Amino acid sequence: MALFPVQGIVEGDFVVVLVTADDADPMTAVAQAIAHHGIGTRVAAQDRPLKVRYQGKVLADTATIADTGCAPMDVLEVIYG
Amino acid sequence: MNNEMNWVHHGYHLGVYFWRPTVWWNPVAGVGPEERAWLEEKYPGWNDSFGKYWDEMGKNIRAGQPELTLPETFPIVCNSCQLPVCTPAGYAAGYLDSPLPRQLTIDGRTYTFCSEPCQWVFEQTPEQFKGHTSIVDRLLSGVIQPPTIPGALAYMGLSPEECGQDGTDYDWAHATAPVLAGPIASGTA
Repeated sequence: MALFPVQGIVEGDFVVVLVTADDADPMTAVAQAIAHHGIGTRVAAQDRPLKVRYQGKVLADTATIADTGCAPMDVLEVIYG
Repeated sequence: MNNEMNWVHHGYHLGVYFWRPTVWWNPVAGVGPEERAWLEEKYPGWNDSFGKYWDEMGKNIRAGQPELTLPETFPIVCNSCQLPVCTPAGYAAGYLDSPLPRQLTIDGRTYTFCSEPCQWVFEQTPEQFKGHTSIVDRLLSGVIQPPTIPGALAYMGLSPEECGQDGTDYDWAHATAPVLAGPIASGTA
């Protein structure tokens, strides 16, 4: 387990933010880590599950950053599923 | 580039307000009903595209949670102009095809850009720019300690007294819409 910096984008937000995730966490946790910096602060929350998209593909909820081949400071998008 | 004239300044407006501790003035940037009316008239569609962010921030202020309008992390900044990367704003407003920032890898280091012109400037003389580290790079490389917002503000030489605060003490979030004088109000009776 190691801290892993990514560029996070919350669907509907206006800016790209720095987010530190854990490379062993599942995408459900990574999504929450990114969403924390946008949803409920600048973007209204929706009652739908959050998903992570990387290089155009929606990742499985159970996948980890280590599983995806994501490099530090790659861009992860959080979208509503 | 003309495309950016339609949206990028609205993104920076939001950025200056949300990251107000990082500036050395008190931004009078909050958007109350009067400002909204002006923005909507000047930029038709502004309420739908950008007003929604101010809706959320205003709601949090009225709920007694102004801390939710303050940053807990840094925006990614452009490796050319050093300003926050607001491409998601352009996408959300319908002016860009993607919210993703532009990126370029040189000698194993990946650089991020806010726009095509910034990437173009960088690529003209990469030797001039590629050694520079942004505030985000310095957070990640350990130059800024602790690697937090307070740590970065101290690194920037901003004392708590110097950090920007809401210039109206959140009056904008509590303001009510002005009553406009129309044909009836202006009185024909």
